Amino acid sequence: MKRVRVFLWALVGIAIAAFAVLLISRQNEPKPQDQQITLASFGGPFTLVGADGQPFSSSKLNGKAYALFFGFTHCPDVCPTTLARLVKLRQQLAQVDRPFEIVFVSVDPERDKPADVGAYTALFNSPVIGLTGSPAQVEQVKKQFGIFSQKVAQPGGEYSVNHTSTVLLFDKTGHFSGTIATDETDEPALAKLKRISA
Amino acid sequence: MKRIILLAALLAVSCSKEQPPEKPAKEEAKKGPVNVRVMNPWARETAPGQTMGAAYMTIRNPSWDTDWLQSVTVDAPATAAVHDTATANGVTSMKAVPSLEIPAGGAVQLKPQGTHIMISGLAAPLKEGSSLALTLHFKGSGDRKIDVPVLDAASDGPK
Repeated sequence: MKRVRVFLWALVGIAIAAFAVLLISRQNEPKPQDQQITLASFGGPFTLVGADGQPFSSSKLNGKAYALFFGFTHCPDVCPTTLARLVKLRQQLAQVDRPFEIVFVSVDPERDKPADVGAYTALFNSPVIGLTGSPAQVEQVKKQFGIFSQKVAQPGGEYSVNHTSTVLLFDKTGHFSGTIATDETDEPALAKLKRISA
Repeated sequence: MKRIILLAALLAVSCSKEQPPEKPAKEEAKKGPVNVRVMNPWARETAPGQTMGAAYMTIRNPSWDTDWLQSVTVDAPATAAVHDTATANGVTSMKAVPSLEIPAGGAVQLKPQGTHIMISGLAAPLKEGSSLALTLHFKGSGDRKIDVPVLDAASDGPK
């Protein structure tokens, strides 16, 4: 009988010890503000070239919420569809004149010159900031935002570009706020855009 | 000869519910019993310098046999082909579709961010309000000449 009691008390002791270890390890987990610093380092300041051929610094976006999309003007399907959708959703956010900026960055700088992104973004009859740059500038920005792109030869000597098509959302403080997936429906997309525009 | 007449007559009768009787008999006798219909075609306008465009539509196959869209022709110097847009892990890519199956009694929708007809090598931009002539070549139904209306860039289909 005594042995059983000792054994049971030993179990209790182990349980208390395990609980204590758990408590201590939870205290050592990164605090929320640590994680926020990690998120804010995604992206960062950049310089590209605007549709007017002049340098475009990301500081022009300070204090503005924006939806960032990477594509190329020779893109027949996904790029115009995504930009058209962003324009349409922005029009549905009737609260302010221009709740968020739509920024289009070309991942095909060899073909897309400033005039090309200008003509392309003008198609949507709504302000869209079109950016391109030197291949080195675009590569740098792609790295900052974790964007993938790859040329694929097409018959007839042309090429298309496989690329990350997720839309990146940034709020007015410049912090990364979330993404809109390519196949996401309008309702959750609109909710996310409302949030960054707030 | 008698068999062809009988077949054409049967087809004309079976289609009489959907179409005026005098129209289809000649068309259907041309190439087998399959007779796909192309509906609601549209394309987006393109910017100057943009050499690639996309056309969308619904292809309906009311017959009992499967058909396949095997190629598409467009006025030179442009070329056209069916492509599939696919997104995996956030990355979008396009893949050529050499033969697009149109299932018997079914329909295939070519729509944005999905299957579409990609037009390459456009010599001039597609202007809103204009029309693009395409010929679709089907294995069973033969050729379908269509005029694709060009809509504005922000559009998501004909109203």
